[in-house]
Amino acid sequence: MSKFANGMKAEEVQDLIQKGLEGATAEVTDLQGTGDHFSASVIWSGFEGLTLIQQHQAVYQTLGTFLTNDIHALQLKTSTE
Amino acid sequence: MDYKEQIHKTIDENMVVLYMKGTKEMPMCGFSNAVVQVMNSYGIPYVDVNILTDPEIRVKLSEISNWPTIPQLFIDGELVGGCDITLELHQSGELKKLLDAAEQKAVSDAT
Repeated sequence: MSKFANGMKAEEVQDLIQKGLEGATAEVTDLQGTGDHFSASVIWSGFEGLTLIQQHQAVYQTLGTFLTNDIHALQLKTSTE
Repeated sequence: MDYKEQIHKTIDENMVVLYMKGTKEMPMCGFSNAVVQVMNSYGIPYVDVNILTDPEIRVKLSEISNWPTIPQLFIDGELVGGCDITLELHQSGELKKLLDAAEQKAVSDAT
């Protein structure tokens, strides 16, 4: 049973991303209100020089196991500023 | 040969590899199908691997590529993207550059 039995809240996902990527700002929306399909746009200077896949991997890293257990879909938009 | 060796072999020996659900002729998932359509628009040869044939493939692949979802497109041994990223690179023209560079390399490797 995952910690967030009824799915996660957008603020929780936002918090994880912003804690994981120091100085990043993340805007997260729950796409279906079901707590497991999100879209997030993340602005972080640390993306500079990373390929698109590396940027997304950096965000996934901050979500750890939540990504496979609780979050089923995450649409990402990443930019440096 | 274990799963990881097999995956590394496939990725290293083929310029373009698409790990997907289903096959290029019969994609079994919308995201995999989207990438197949994009790849078909370039008309270049690529190897498709149907991860539905054995669930262990996906587990080992994600450990190697550090990417949780399927499809996964590899060009010249490097993970290029899942569905969203591949479509984004396709729209920006970046995917064409990657494929052209890979094709150049394949030609020069062959001669």
